[in-house]
Amino acid sequence: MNKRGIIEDMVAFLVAFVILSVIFLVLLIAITIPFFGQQAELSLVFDEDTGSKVCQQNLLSYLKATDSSGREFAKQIIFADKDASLRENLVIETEKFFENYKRGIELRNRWFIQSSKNNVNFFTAGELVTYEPKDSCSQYIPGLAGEKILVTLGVEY
Amino acid sequence: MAMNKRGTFLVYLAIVFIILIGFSAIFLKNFAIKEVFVKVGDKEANMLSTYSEAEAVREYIKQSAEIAAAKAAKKANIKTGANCFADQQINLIDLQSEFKNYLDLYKSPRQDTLITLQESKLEAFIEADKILITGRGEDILITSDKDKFEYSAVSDFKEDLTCSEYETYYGLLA
Repeated sequence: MNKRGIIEDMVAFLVAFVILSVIFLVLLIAITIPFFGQQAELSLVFDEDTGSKVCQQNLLSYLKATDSSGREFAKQIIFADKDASLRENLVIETEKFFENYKRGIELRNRWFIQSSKNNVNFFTAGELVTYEPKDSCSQYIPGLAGEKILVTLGVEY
Repeated sequence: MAMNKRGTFLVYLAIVFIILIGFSAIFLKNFAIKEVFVKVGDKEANMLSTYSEAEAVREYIKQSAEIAAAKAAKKANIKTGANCFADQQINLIDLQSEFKNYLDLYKSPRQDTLITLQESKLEAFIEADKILITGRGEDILITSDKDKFEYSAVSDFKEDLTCSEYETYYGLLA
């Protein structure tokens, strides 16, 4: 290859290099700006999306709250287990509690509360008939006869 | 053999096309909608779980202590009425034994959470109109294999059994 041929090759290489650089730059900009390339859809998945922890707090608040006689609902349930005459009043008081209970944005639409001992229900309140298991929560309270009572809250958010 | 000018240019052109195709592929890949899931709030959710569990257990313990005190008072033949506990005594062993029975029964309703209750030492302070029960014990241990957390909650508590509450217990206790 003569001297002129070498220079022509070098020029051709430089031209190709410049063209490549320009293409690279254009593509880089096209990739970066959202107008050309659609950005990724980012979905944030919260660890707790079932509502059960909200339900749990709701249930605890209910059990610790006092009714109009100043007695805690947990105790009223313990007593209602042994005295059927207390159950009617407990339903009224429970409905009153859930009517008034508000924490932040009110998300709860309908609710259902049930107390059972040895898988036998002895007290129910609320209008919700069925609920998803993920939207329910339970808590044990001690019974007078040395057993435990399971209180379950079902919520429709 | 040395290439002529056209041959050299074609080689560069081929390189340009290959690179163009490569960049186009990257561009097209980037153009496709990507969905990225980011899970957040694990620690916060676990913290809420343990808080709820601790609250729930403490409530159970306090109620158990009150029932245990009512049972011990009834066993000690204490009658109801105003100032029902004046000059009365209850057997601390009965109180502790009843209380322990309740603690032994407890487990979390949430299957993935394990609650380890340590033995609590109860003390009862009898006043004329109430029994004040205080509990002091090792921390309650709350663990979850599923969510991978371990948390200790203070188990100390105070609970009152007033004469009016005792009256209700008295009527309902067998």
